[in-house]
Amino acid sequence: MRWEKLGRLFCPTGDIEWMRSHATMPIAEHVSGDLFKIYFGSRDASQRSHTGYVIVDLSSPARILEVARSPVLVPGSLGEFDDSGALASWLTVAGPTRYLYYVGWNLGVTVPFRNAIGLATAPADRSFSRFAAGPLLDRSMTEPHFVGSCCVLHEAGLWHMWYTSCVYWSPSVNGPNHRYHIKYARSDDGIHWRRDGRVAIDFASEQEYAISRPAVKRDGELWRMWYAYRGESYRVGYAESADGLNWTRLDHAVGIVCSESGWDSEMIEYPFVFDHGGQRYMLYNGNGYGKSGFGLAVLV
Amino acid sequence: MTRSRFKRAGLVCRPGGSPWERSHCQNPFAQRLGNEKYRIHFASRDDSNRSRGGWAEVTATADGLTQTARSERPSLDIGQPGTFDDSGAMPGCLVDHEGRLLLYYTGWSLTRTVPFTFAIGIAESRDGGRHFDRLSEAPVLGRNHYDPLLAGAPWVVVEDGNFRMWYVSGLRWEVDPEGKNAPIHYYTVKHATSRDGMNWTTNEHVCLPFHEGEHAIARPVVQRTDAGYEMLYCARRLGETYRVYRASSVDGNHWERDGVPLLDTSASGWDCEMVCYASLLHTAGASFLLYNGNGYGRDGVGAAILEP
Repeated sequence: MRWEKLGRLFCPTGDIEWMRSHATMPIAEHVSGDLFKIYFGSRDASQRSHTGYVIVDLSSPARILEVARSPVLVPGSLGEFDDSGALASWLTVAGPTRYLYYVGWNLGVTVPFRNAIGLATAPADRSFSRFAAGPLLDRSMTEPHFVGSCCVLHEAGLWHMWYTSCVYWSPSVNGPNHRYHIKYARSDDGIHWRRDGRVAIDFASEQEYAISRPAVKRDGELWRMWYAYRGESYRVGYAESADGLNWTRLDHAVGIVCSESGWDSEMIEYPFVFDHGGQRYMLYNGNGYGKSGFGLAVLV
Repeated sequence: MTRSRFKRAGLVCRPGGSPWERSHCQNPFAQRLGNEKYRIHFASRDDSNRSRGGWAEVTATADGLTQTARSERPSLDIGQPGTFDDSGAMPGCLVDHEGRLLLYYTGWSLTRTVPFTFAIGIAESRDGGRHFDRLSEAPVLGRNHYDPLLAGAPWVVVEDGNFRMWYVSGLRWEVDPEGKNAPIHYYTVKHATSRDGMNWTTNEHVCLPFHEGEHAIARPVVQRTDAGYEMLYCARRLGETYRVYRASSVDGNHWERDGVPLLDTSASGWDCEMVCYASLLHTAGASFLLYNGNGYGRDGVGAAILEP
C-alpha cells in the first residue's frame, strides 16, 4: 500500500472571522461529477471551532471552486457542551437524512477541556441544524472523562461507531496530559448508542497517549481503518479487521509519512478515506493539527 | 393545608475547621440511627471552596438536637482530575434499597465560559453511612438530551420498586449585560425516573416553573403525604437571596407552589441574609426543619422546631 501525495488543497487565509485559522478533520461529501464538498473545522480568533467547507474539483484539485461564506455549524449557547467549539467529525447518510456527527468543546479549569459528541442533521441538500442542545454521546459510567472524534457507518440497519475515548488525565509539570484511544459503539437508529467498553484500537506502547479520528472503510470481508496516533507527534496509522470489532494494527504498512519539508513535515493526522472514479483518496492534515490546512493523497 | 410555624432552635453543628472543612455544612439531611440518634449529612468546603461529604451525629429531644459525634475525615471525597466531581462532591440524599445504602450526590466541575457545571453521581456505604465509595467515576445523570447544561441536587425516592428523582436542571445561562459579573444561571426542579437507580429517563417537563424574576430554584426534598407529595425547596429572584418554600402535588410531576416562604430570614445572626437547603427530620418528640443560612450554609446547620 502506497499513497501518493497530491499536495495541499486548502488553508484558511485568515480573512473570514469564523475561519481565522485551521482546516481540521476534513470530510468529503460527493456533490456531482468530480465535485466534492470538503467539510472541516476552523477556528475564530478565540480558538473556537466552527465547521465550514470548500468545494473542490477532484479532476483539478488545486482549484478551490467555492469557500463557505457562513459556517455550517457554530458553537452552542453559553454553558452547553459545545459552547467553545463545534468541530465536524463524520458525515453519514441514511435515507433522506444526512447525519453530521461533531465534537463539542467545553473548556475546563482542573483539566483544559472536555469533549462530547453532538449531532446535527439535514435533509438532502438542505442546511444542518442541531439535533439537540445536549450531547448525543457524553462520558459514561465506564468512560468518566470524555469522548471525541468518531466515524459512523450505517449498513443493513445497524449503525457502527468508532470513537475517541479518554482513559485518564495524568498530572505533569506542564499541566494534565490526556490519554485516549478508540472504542466501538453500536446503534439501531444512529441516535441511541450502546457502549460496552469494547476497545477497537488500543495503545501500542506506554509512550503512545493519543489515538484519534478513526476512518473506516469496508472492502467486502475486510474492514480497514485509518487513524491518527502519537507519541511525540501525530502519524497516520492503519489497522485491519475481519468483523469491525477486533482489529490488528499494521501501522508500518500505512504507506504515508511526513514530508521532508513543508506543510506536512512535522506531523500528519486526521485521515479521511473515500473512493471516487475507481480510485481511493485520503484527505489529511499536517503541521499544527490542521493549522497548515489539509491535503490530498491517492492510493497507487 | 394550614401554615406551619417554626420555632428557631439555632445552629446544631458548625464547620469542623480541619483542612477539608474550613467552612460550610451545606445541604443537611438526616439518617435515622435508632434510639433517638440521627446522623446529619452535609457538605463542607476546603480553602479552595471544594465540597466534600461530612456528618454530625445528634441526639434528639423535644427541645432540640445535640451533637454527639463528628466525621473525622470526609465521608465522600472529590474525584480524580478531569472527572465530573473533581472540584466538589456534595451529598444529596440516601436511599436504603434492597440491603444497600446508596448516596446520590452532586459532583462539581469548574469551567471557563460559565463558572461551573454539575452532574449527579452515586456512591455506596458499607459501614452504615459513615463513609461512601463512588460506584462509578462518571455521573449517573449528567447533561443529556433534555438537560443540556447541568443536573444536580438529587432527591431520590423508591416507589413500588421504581426510582423517582427530583433534581435541579439548568435551563439557560445569561451573560451579565454589563460584563462585570459571571454569567447568571437559570435552573429549577425537574423529575426523572429509573428502574435500577443507575439509568435514568428524563424529559422536558419542568416541575416548578419560575415566578417572575426568579432565576434559581434549588434543593428539592420530597416526602409522601396523604394527599400525594410535599416538596421543600428554595428559590430566589435576581439580585435577591434564597428563601425556603413548599409545594404540593398529587402525582409528583405537577406541583402547586406556596406563595409565601415556609421559612423567612431572621432579624439577625447566621440566617439573617438567606435561608436555604431545608429538609425535615421527624423524631419521636418533635419535627425539625434542618436548614442553612447565610452564605449557603457557611456557618453550619441550623434547626427549627415545627410547632404543633
